[in-house]
Amino acid sequence: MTDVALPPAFADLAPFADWILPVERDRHRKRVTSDLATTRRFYDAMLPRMEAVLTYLNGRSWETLDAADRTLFVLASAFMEVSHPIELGWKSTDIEDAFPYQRLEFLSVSARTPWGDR
Amino acid sequence: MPAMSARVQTQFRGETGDLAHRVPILEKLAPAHFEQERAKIFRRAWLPVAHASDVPEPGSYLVRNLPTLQTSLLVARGRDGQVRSFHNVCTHRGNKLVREGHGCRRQFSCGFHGWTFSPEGELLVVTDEHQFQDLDKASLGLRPVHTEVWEDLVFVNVEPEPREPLRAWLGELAGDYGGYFARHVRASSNRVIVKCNWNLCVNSFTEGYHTLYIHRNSVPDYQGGTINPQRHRPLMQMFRRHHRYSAPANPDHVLTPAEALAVKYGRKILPAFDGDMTGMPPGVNPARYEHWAFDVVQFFPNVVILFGNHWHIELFFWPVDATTTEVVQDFWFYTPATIGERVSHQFFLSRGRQVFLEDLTTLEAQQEMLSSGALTHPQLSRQEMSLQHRYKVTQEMLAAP
Repeated sequence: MTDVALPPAFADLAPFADWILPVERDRHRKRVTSDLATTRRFYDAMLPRMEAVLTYLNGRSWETLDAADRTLFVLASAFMEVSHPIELGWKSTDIEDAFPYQRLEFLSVSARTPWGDR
Repeated sequence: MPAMSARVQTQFRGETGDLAHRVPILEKLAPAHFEQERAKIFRRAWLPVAHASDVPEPGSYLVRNLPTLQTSLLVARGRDGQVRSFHNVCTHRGNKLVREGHGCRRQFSCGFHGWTFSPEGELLVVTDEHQFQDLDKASLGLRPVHTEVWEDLVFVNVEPEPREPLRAWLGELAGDYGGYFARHVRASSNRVIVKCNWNLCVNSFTEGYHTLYIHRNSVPDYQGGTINPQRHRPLMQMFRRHHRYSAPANPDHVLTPAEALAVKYGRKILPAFDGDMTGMPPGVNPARYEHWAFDVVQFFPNVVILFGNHWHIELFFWPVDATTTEVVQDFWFYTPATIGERVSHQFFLSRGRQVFLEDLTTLEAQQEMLSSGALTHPQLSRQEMSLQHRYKVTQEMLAAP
């Protein structure tokens, strides 16, 4: 896992490299196709680190974010994505009888927002 | 703790005496009925298709394919700064001028024979022009569609001469939202095609009665609470065509750990609610209800906007045919100043998406079972009066010559 570049203070999060998904669609798909135990391991590792992560990221500028900082931002975003089934006590990572996630098409907003596709 | 007698009673405003609480649904699902709706509602209405900020500069354009109107529109900002819409058709042989997407161009050239148009719609270049006889270039500009901008929304009307200007169409809503849309930028956009009649789709997003049940897993305690256990809307307004209601927040909502972080490092966005009305235009939380969550406004016929503080959500329901609807949802959030706010956005965005997906879960099931004919006249609650109102306005437009 040494090829995962994270800010040195957050190197402990490197085992969760498969949650480094920069695009919203991919984070959603990863969540609903992961089992609850796997998702909970990621959530449990991230939650106690989130205050430090957010404090660290708030000291950075979006325009000059380097690759390691951006990876940390993406992991924090993935934490928010997985928080729902864990904190709401669902039996799986999607609700029962959910509308099929495959049918949700994410449209590009890149040309129309200050931050590009997410 | 408030006494049970403090339960919220809905304040109804507007004409409600002539609403029918039983709806003859079966006839409304028929293909012939939809063709009437297409002709007398969609082809006569002012319909929002884009934002002016989507085409920010002279030459900026976007393509809107609208199967409901059986056309594709090219929305473009001219060099004079004006936003216009055209049928997206080359006036030579009818090729679709711009296939997809958006961007910025000085001119639009047809890929078929190279005819070229300006962003204002003029025909600029006919290739090998002297081979044509009696060619009147001035009459061969792009075919315009009536276009007006209200706040940041671009409305179109495909009638040769609209029956009324946009502001009259908007009626009571027209002056209510000054500057509101400029507060937000588009954070995410998604689309679903559902095998369901468009009326049923709109109806699923224009009442709050369902929230206790369909959203029990994703937003269990954001609305209502002990002061309003049945989540009665504090205010419902029936306008000439449109309607609006306010949704009630639960003042005793308990933050979960991730949400607490999202609120600490950012601002509250649906499903969390900030009732601070400072600087808010009069149309938002019009009753200035103390435990306000957000407003739901139906822009008749097919657009629903949820107006919040720090956010809004736009829902577009475009029927393809009687039993197929394209649903587009756009999330608009405040512009993040910090990276913490960007992470905070992701909490609310992913939760809001979940709520949206839940709203979709009953649509095809309803379509399937209502089509059976086993239930011909569904009965609507007072909390579903917005649906009653919508059917009334629909009937009025269908009855017009």
